[in-house]
This record gives sequence, structure tokens and C-alpha cells, in this order.
Amino acid sequence: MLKQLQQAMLGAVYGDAAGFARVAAGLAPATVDPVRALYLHTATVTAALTGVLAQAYPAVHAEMGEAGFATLATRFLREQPPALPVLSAYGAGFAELVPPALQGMARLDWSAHRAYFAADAQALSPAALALIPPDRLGGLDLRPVPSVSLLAGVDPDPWLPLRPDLAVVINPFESPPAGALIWRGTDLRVAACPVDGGVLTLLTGLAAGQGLLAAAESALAAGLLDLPAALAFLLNQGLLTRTEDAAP
Amino acid sequence: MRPAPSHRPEAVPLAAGIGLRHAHVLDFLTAPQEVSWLEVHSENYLCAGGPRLAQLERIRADYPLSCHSVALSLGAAEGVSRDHLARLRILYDRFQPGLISDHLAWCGVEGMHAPDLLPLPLNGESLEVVARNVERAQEGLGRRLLVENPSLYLRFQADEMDEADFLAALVARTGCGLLLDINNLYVSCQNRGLDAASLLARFPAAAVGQYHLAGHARVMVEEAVLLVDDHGSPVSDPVWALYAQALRLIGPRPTLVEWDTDVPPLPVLLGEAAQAQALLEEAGPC
Repeated sequence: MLKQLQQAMLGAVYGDAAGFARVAAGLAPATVDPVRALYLHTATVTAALTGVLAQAYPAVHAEMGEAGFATLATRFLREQPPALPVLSAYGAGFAELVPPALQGMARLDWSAHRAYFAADAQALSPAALALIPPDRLGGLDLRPVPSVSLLAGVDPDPWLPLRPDLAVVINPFESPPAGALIWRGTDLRVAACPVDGGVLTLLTGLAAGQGLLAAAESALAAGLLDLPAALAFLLNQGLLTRTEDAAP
Repeated sequence: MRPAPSHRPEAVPLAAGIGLRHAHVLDFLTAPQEVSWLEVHSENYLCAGGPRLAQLERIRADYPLSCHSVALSLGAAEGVSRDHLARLRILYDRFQPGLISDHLAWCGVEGMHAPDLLPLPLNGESLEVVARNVERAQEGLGRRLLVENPSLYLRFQADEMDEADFLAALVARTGCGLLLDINNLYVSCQNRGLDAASLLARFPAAAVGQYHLAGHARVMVEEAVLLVDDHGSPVSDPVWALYAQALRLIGPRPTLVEWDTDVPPLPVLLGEAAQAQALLEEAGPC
């Protein structure tokens, strides 16, 4: 009996009319009309998850406005309720539901959200890199730290002014941007900047497990102009870790 | 920045504490605050890494900590999630809270979660379910659990007992403790047409390990008033009076003031905690 009641009530809080009616039929009189009191749970869940999504997608929230965002959030939470009670992980699919013009912004928001909660890792410092013998540098097994997201083809410039909470990083690359780079720095703040095609290729190669030499060759072929400057930027921002230093 | 910690306080003292909210974290990181202990919502810290855990590490070095989870789903007929127990165990082993607690409620079925404390009928079937879940939770977490009375808005035709009898039976079956939320007790009784003072008098006093205090909202529903446990205002006068009664009947216990919506500046919350502390001290040695 309890299991069936709970299935019906969970349906009710996610807007299922049949579930709502089934639960309501088993309620006893109280101070307030039981049906109205039951609706409080539906409203609580809707408000809580709308708030969770608004926190994860602040730029989309700002662009859509309160009412538009709430309507979309209600649709999303009913179609894709959380599977886990860990709400910082909820909302990955919301980006696909937002209007096409805001989907890039939504992906940027989610990447920043993800970066905030990502696993810690020991970033390789420029000083630590300098201690590695030159003949071992080419085979060095580097990876982007777990907070890194690379969004090819997404321009972060229109999005950055909507995210004053992020660390400001001046675009260090002279080539035209080919995508966005988002990460959490060693100061634990989330940061973002545009990246050119060469750096995008370099980081994509490292993320795929290529050694430094192979990833650098791919990056140079993709138009990377200044490999030492790119590596200096990535190291100074705490974007790279050695595989043996990465968190499990 | 605060100096490096010299110790890590373990036990939650018999004093008033506050719920640590994100809006106040910087206050705690930049200066010592006049409060005896802190409580956090466990699920807010179930992340792989990042600033939240780092900040809590620093704060934990100087304050006793209680961890209050909201999603163990102790009332779930299908049982508590082993995965969620494992996540909480890792958190608790890391931060070593002096107290842990969750609610007489449920929040999910078959891989679907709802962020609310959903009620269940208070009857024999539910008691079997909750007792089994509490035993599994205490075993999985390796600690004694305090079970909190939630705010209730509904009554079920299938109810067979009241909260005091249900919780007393649960304590007898599982050895768990109770977190008596005075505001929830008041809200539930008002919403269900019961007398809070009478119900309070029948709670199993020896099992109560902690009190919660918070504010609630009054919402007009047609001609009736529904009290909503929104933790968005000061503790109300009737709840202070009920707390004073609890101190007389049950005795002083660590007492937490919660404020979760429209969170005020920290001094306002500390003022509420100071009021609870004064009542605790009036009630007996702290």
C-alpha cells in the first residue's frame, strides 16, 4: 500500500493529475482543504527545482526573465525530474530545451556550473614543469584539470558580461576565437575566456590522452602561433595536471 | 584570513547554534563569530571538489559541526539508497560531525527524486518501513541518527497513530535519537487541528538529542490559515513558548536556529541564536 501511495504522490508532485486524484482520495480532513494542502507539495517541488536550474543557468535566467524561465523550467522538471538527491548534478539536459538562440549561452552556464563542483586536482605549475628534464617533455602525460570544459564554436563574449561572478581573464590569444574555455582556477574561482583553434586543438589532444609532443604537433597544424605562450598561459592558470596527480 | 587551526572541535555542545548558509560563509572565513556550533545541509556538500568543501574544511577547524541531510528518504517503501548512504558516509568520515540527522519523510521512488519532505501515513506498515530504513542508515553511516519530525500539511485516512507514538515506537525499535523541531511541531499541529503542547508532552524525552527552531509563514487558503515551514522569518512567539515548554519537559539540548529563505545578515541570525541560548541557560546548566 505504501509503495503505491508513494508512486502516486511522486506523480502528483510532478503534475500527474491521476496520481494527484489518487492521493487526494486517501486524505483526511484537516484545517485546510486537503487538496489545496497537497498542492503545496507540488508547488514546493516546482519552486525548488526552478531555483536549482536558475542557479545553474544564471545567464539564461537573466535573458529569459522570471516568467519565461519558470515556464521552461516547469516543463523540463516534469519531463526530466532528478534521478538523484544531489541537486548540484541536476539540469544537464536543460540546455537542449532552451530557445536555439540561447543554447550556446546555456552550454556555457552549465560548463561554469560543472566547473564549480568538479573534482580537485594538483595543477602543474610552471616551476614544476621547469624541473622536468627537457628530453622528457615531449612524452609528458598532461591532462586538463577536471573542471575544464572546451566548447568549440561557442563565443563566450556575449555571455561574460552576464556572469559577473566569474573571474575575469583577458583573452591572451591573438588569433580569432574558435571556442570557449571554462575552468576553475587555483584560487577556486571559475573563469572563462575565448580560445583560438590551436589552443582548442592542444587541449582537446591532451584531454584525449595524447602526449604533449603529439598534442602540440596537432595544435601547430591547426594554426597555433605561439606554443610556449599557450603553454605558459595554461600552466599559469592552473589548467593542466600530470596524470599521476589527477584526482581519481 | 584566520590563523591555521590548532584543533578540530568534535562534540556539539549543549548550546545554541545556527545553520551555516552560503550567504554567511565569508563572514565565518574572515572573522570568528559568536556562535557555539554550526549545522550544514549534507546534500549541499555532496560534490567532488571545489570551494564549498574547501570552505567547510576551514570553518570546521574552528566550530563543532552537525550534518543534517534531507534526502535519506527514511520513509521510502523501497528502502534507502545504498549509493546515497555511501555518499553521505564519505562526507561524514571526512568532516566528523558531532551529530547527524534526517527526517521522518520520503523524497523519491524508483530513481526519481523530489526535493521535498513528503509525508507518509503514520501506521504500522510505515513504522516497519521506517524502522528498517533507519537501521540500514545507522549501519551504513556508522553513526546514531537523529530523526526529525517534519512539518505536516496533510492527514491520511490510513493514519493509525500520532507522531509522538510513532516516533517513540521508532526509537524503541532502532535505538535512534530524535531531532525535535519545535517549529515543525507547531506548524503540523496548527495545520492538522492538534494541540502542540499536548503532543510535545508525549515525545520520548530521553531520545531527544537536538532541537530545531525556525520561522514559518502564514498563508490564507480560502477562509483558513495554512502555516508553511519556509524558514524565512524570525522564530514566532508561539514557537518560542513551545520551546520553553520543551526545555522544562524534556530538558536542555543543543538547539539550532535555521533560516533558509530571505536569509538575513548574519547578526540577525546570531541574535535569534542568542535568544535560544538565553532560554537554554535559564533552563539549566549548559
